[in-house]
Formats: sequence, C-alpha cells, structure tokens
Amino acid sequence: MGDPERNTGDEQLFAEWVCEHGRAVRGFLLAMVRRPDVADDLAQEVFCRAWQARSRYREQGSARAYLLRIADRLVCDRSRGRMPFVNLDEEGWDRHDPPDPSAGPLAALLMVEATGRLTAALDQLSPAQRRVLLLRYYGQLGFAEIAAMIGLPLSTTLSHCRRGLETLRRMLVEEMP
Amino acid sequence: MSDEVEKLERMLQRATAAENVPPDDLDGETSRLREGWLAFGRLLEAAEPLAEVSFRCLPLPRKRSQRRLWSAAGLLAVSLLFCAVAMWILQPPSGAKNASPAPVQIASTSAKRPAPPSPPAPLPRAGEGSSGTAKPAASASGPQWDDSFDEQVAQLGRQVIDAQQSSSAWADTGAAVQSKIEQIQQEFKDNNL
Repeated sequence: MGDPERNTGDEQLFAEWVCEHGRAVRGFLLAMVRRPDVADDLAQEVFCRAWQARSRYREQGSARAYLLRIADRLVCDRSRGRMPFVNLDEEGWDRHDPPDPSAGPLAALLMVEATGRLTAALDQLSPAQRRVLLLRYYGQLGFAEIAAMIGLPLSTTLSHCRRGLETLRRMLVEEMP
Repeated sequence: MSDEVEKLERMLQRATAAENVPPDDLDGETSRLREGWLAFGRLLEAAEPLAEVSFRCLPLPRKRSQRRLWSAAGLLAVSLLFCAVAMWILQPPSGAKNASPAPVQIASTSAKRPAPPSPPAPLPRAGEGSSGTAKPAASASGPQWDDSFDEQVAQLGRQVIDAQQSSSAWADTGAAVQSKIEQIQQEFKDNNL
C-alpha cells in the first residue's frame, strides 16, 4: 500500500476497470434492481469495494467476473435488507438529477417503452433465471463459473438458462405485434 | 459430467455467444434459443440510459480520518515553525550573541574623547614627597600608544565580520559598530595619535 509504484499501478488498473466494465456492471445492476438511482449507488459501491479489496484480487478469471461477483452479492444483500438506502420519489430524483433535455422526446419515449418491455420480460423470469442470464450477458462468463458464483450445480444452472431463454423468446419474439 | 449436461452446455454456449454465429450452423432448438437471447440483448441495450455514456474515474475524496490526520500534521508543523522562529528571535545564534554587545560597549567607552592634558601641577616645594611628580611627567611627555587598545579594535573588527556572516538580522548592529570604529579612528587621527 505504501509503495508509490504499486499505488500508481493499482490506480491505473482501477481506471481500466471503470472504463471497460463500468457499463456492464451498471447494466447488470439496473436489470437486477430496475431502479436507475439504486443501480448507480450500487455500481459506485461495487467499485469502492473492488478498490478496497484490490490487494486480494489476483489475476484469476476476468476482472469483469470479479466485479460482477461483487455486484451480485450487493444485490443479494440489498434484497435481504442488509443495505440501507434512501429512496427518493420521482420529484426528488428529478431535482437531484434532472433529465437530459438534449435527449429529445422521441428518444425518451423509446426508452420508456423499452424499459417497460424489459421490466415485463424480467418479471416473467425467476430470480435464478434472471441472475444466470444477466451474468452471462454482461459478464460473458462460462456456465461453470456462473454456477460457482451463484452456488448451484452446473446442470441446474444450465436448466435455468434454457428455461429463461425459452421464456424470453416467447415474450419478445413470438408475442411481438 | 454427463454427456447430456455437456451437450446442453455446448448448445447454450452457442446460443448465448457474444460473437455472431451463422444461423446455418445452429440446429433448430439452438436457433430458437438464440432468437430469444438476441431479443433480450437488444432490449437491454435499448433500456440502458447510459448506453452512450463512457464511464470515467473521478478522484475519490479522502476519508475524514485522513483529512483529520493531515490537518493535525499541518497544525503541528506550523506550531513547530512558530516555536523555532520565536526561539531564534529570543536567543540569537552564539556567534552573533558574542559579537554584538561587546563591540557596542567597547565602542561607547572608547568613543570618549581623550582627556585633555591636565593643567601643570604646581612646582613641588622643597621637602615635599616626590609622589606627585609622576603624572605631570607622563603628561608632559604626551600620550603613549596603547597596544591593548589596538588589539581591541582588531578584535572588534573580527567580531563585526562574524556578526555579519552569522545572520543578516544582525547586519544593522554590525554596521553601527563599524561606524563607531570609523568614528574612533577618525578621532584618533584628529588628535594625532
């Protein structure tokens, strides 16, 4: 910790992590919690914890898998009520972070529509299916790695993935107008 | 791992691959699963508000304890500096301390104009002791060169140089002493010493 060269290397590595994996981590969290403000807070927390535990990080597996593992644990902790959050209502959130006026009404409408469809699709998935599919999508992890991360046998993990994909196809492809 | 699990894993890996997979390379079930996967991915991208925003690192604020530590260290450094300056003012360096008071004292005493020759003493009467004849004899012969006084002047000059080198704060004192020396020398010249 006291070595300046090592600190510089850590900071560079951390900056690379944020640039390369920030979107994936944030996207995973947003899909899991479905609240942009909570996802932002959790993403910040993920990188804070990754920075604090950087001395324990070893080049085993990908950095994205490491970060997503932290994110997954944070989501689990939040769902169990271990993490305190201050929830803002919509008006309070707009005061804190007003919507971007340059986005335009059409883009905002499309995003609202996509968010609604995504929410409906995720609601049709079981929590385990959601975790498997989102870890696969954002982390591009192998199924054995995902199984180890969520603590399920590989066959069960594969089964969750298959059923989840079938559900998504039915909702997003077959039932599309 | 059973063959069925391996086969299912391979199928799902192809169905959920990030890179493009030609549809002709996929069997019917894998192709169907991949359709659902691609639709899911498009939806995730469309619903991602920060899709075009690049993440960047901002400098993290220091912890409160670190800030307190730095504040305490700064306060301690300022206190030490203040104490050092106060001690330096109240107790000047040893070279300068020896240099300044002595020259001033010497200069003040030596700046006195030499006493004028005492009036001639009355001639001694016959029968009086010869004790009173020494002074008139000395004064009559004129002032004598005092070597010790010359040494004092030389020592004074050395002390002035030391004082000037020791600290710039004592430069004024050294200059005053120097002017006194010049004044003494001028007085000596005026009196033809």
